[in-house]
Amino acid sequence: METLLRIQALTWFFMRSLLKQKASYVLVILVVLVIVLAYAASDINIGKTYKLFEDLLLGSQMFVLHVMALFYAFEFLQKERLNGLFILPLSTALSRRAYLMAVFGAQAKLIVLLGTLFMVIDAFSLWLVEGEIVGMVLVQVALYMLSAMLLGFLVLMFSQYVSIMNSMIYGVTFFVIGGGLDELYIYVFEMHPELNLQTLTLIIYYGFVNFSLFDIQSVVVNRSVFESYRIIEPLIYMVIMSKIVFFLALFKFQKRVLKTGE
Amino acid sequence: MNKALFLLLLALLVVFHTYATLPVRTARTADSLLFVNPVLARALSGNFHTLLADRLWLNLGMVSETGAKGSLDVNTTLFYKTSKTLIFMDGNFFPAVAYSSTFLISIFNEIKQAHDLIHLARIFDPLNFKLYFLEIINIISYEHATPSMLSRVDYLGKKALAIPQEKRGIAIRDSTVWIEEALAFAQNDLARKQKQKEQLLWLLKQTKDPNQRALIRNRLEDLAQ
Repeated sequence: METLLRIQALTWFFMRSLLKQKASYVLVILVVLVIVLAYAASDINIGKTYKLFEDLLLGSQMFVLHVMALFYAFEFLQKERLNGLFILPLSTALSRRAYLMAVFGAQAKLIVLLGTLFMVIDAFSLWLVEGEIVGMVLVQVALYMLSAMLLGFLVLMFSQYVSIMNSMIYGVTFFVIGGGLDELYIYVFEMHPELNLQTLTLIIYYGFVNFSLFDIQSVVVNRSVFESYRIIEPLIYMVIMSKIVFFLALFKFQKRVLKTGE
Repeated sequence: MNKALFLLLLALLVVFHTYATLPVRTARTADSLLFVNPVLARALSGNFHTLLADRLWLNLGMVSETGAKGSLDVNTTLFYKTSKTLIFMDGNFFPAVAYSSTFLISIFNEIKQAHDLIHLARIFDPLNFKLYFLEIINIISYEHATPSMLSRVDYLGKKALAIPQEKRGIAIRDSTVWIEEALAFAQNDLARKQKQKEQLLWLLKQTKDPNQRALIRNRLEDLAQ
């Protein structure tokens, strides 16, 4: 119980130090600006009312959430490695596992904070433009929030094995490849079902970090009928994948020699 | 005074001739983005694929006007490729599917390409009743529908009826009756052709005269098409 409280306190400490960054405010302002742009474009008829508006809204927020996830992870790692942020917490008999939990927790909470802010902004702008708060758009923002969280976790995990800059590059690469896995799935299973790659594709689809599971934007903006697994699947996937990523990070972190100024 | 006015008029004429002549109509070209591999384009655009689809949709109308002599002169392969890329980018975007497939069938009789587009959309949006509805209408209103196409109506109708009434989202209140009538029509037509075929085969067996046999064979071939 006491450890849990200490993890909580440490999480808040990390969060506060990261939230002070100017980039947080700048990017929120950017999102608001894109909403104004989307509002201006909302009367362009593209065959479906408000599709363009919602596409711009969701696209910009997806981008900002992922950029912020990378930014917070990078900022934190800089503080940890260069300024020795880990020295004080780890000198108070806090286990390395608890410390890493606080690091992951701070990353997750920051993204949740930003995502919730976006959802409030979205609810307001949807009500203003469309006259109703479309729940599915908010669900999509929540899924992008999970996706961004997973990206941040990945960078934190890679940083245990490689340098900070390389972990960023690996994170972005995994994000790009993971975002394209649904196309691979469709290509192998639906467009060319005669290919003998189906088992391999399934292993890659669920085994590799699959960011495409979090993308149901096409369904949302077109108001299509869909099966509930499209929402449940990414939630379960996120829980399992974040645990795997955490334990991979912990595996190395427990053995690593900690130094400052790396 | 007159001289000055004349010079002014002349100057205006020169200016008008230089800058305000009618623009020469140049051949329109489509966006180069349209010709890339749709699978690769979607993968590279990441989560922005629906936003890119909006842009392609705005361009699709332009492609259908690329023909110098109007819509009849359009390069159908180009139009098909453009629509395919668009539908792959945003498979749930029904207006694009409806527009491109109807355009291909109604003007160019390209039923195969049109149905390829509908099938592609169905990969992304399997529970869309309107896609089944669109394909059934296409087949039963198609001038040269073959028996294999009509037998497909049977399959499509059953699939469409499996979707609950409240999720269909079309204007006809009782779409079930409509689908059942379409099914009955398709099955009726199939049954009629089958019966004719059997009768002709029986007649072919009975006939000895080579001229008459050739005639019957021609009828059979017509039926098979």
